[in-house]
Amino acid sequence: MSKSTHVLRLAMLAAALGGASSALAQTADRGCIELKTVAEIQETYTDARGNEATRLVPAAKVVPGDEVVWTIVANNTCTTPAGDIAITNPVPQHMRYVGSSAFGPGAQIVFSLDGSTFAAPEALVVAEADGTRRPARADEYSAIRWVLPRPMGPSESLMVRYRATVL
Amino acid sequence: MVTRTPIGLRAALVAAAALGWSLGASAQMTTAGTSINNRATVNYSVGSIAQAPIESSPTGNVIPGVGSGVDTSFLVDNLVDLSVSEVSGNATIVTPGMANGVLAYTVVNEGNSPQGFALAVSEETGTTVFGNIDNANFGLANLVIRVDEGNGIFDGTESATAIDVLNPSQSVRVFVVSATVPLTLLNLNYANVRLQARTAVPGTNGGTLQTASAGANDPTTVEVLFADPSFDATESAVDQFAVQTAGLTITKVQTVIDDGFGSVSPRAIPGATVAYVTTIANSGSIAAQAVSFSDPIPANTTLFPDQYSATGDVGITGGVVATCNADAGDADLDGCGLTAGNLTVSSAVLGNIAGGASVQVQFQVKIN
Repeated sequence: MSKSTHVLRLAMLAAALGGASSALAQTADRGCIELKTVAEIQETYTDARGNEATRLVPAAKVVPGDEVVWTIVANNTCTTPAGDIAITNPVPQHMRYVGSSAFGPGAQIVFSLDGSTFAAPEALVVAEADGTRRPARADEYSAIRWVLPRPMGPSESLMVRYRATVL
Repeated sequence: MVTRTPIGLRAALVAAAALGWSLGASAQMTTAGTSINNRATVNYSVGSIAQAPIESSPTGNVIPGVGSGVDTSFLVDNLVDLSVSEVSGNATIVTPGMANGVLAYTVVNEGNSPQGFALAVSEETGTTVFGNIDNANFGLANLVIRVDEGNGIFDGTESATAIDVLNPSQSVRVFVVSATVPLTLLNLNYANVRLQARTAVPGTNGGTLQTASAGANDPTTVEVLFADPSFDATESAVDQFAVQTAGLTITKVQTVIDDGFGSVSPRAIPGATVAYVTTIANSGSIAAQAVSFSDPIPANTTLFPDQYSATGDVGITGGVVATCNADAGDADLDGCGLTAGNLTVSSAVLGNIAGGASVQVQFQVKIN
């Protein structure tokens, strides 16, 4: 009786950790930050009082021209602070970043044209074929990075977000 | 009620054009069924010691290392959008009885997936197209749909009446053809004809119409979403047949011009000269072609030759030549002749009679 209960608890623990493999194997390899990416779209609806409101729903019905809201959540699962936090996300293939849509409380947001060098928007320039240089457009960004200038405490969560359009 | 945030494709493309985006020459949309995948990475340190980066997953991943994360993905759904337009920008001018009066339309697949299209034709009543009010019908039995086979012009070999498969961004020309323009139509009749295209499952030859996916959305299935201007996967356009005919009226006036006695009012007595002036007028809108003229020389009279420009037996006003000779059987091949007592004037002499124009044929006889 007690043995079967123990097995059941292990199974529940494995389910709670969300892993397909065993919980014990995960424990050995676990890092401190749990990172999650969610795709949603904004829909408008009429609330109970008859007012129009917007909400985010999972990105299920998406066609070219639609904007998708990408939300990345980092959660410090360790008992120690985590420093030098930098979340990097390439703009997905078939999508274009929507200008000024990147958002992250307390984070410094930098962008990249080549996926490896990151800088503030005003520092990103594009060389035209005729040799002239111009500021890069938001739709030319290939990756976004959020840099947190302070450590994340134990159990602290950080949510960052941006929008991108399906081509 | 729940509606999608209206971030329409057209608006997006217009905005893109306004911003000068380089969407590419074709502005190709992401094909339906494409999986869009995203995976973020976090770098961090603990106690100033850099840790192995961790990739994201849809539900949250804590296992470090490249490849340990899972993409957050969704499938691009099937955007149904189409346009139908009229090609020429003008009415198609037809004449009653002519073969193959043709209206041309263009159907464009503006969606992101191959589609088929069912086609239907209908006749308008009283609508105004190209400044002309619809006031006639051809009858649907006299109108057939034909899909172009690739050269952009109707050449009679087309047989398809629906569009089986049209790839994204591709267009095809569709003709509405009146094999024989009904003879009941009159000059300045206008018939406005609408071609409707309804999006169908590709490969069904327009037989199975697309339906918008209803119910729960699923990121792992390709759903069908109608995004055409009327959100019903159906669009149409109107073109116009303008009927133009040549309407000929013929008027003949006789005048006794000389009775041999110098009378002020010459009398029709033997030996008197009578002039006949026949006017052929075209009251229609288009030129009358191949008009020829035949008139019996009246009984008891004889053609009075050489009365026009000294040598011409027949005088013509508004034709190709001013005079010709009414010789027996038109032996001189000048277009005028006398055959079995009839004066004949050929179309070579009269020429085409333009809409609103007229030709006069004159000859004189002496009363026997």
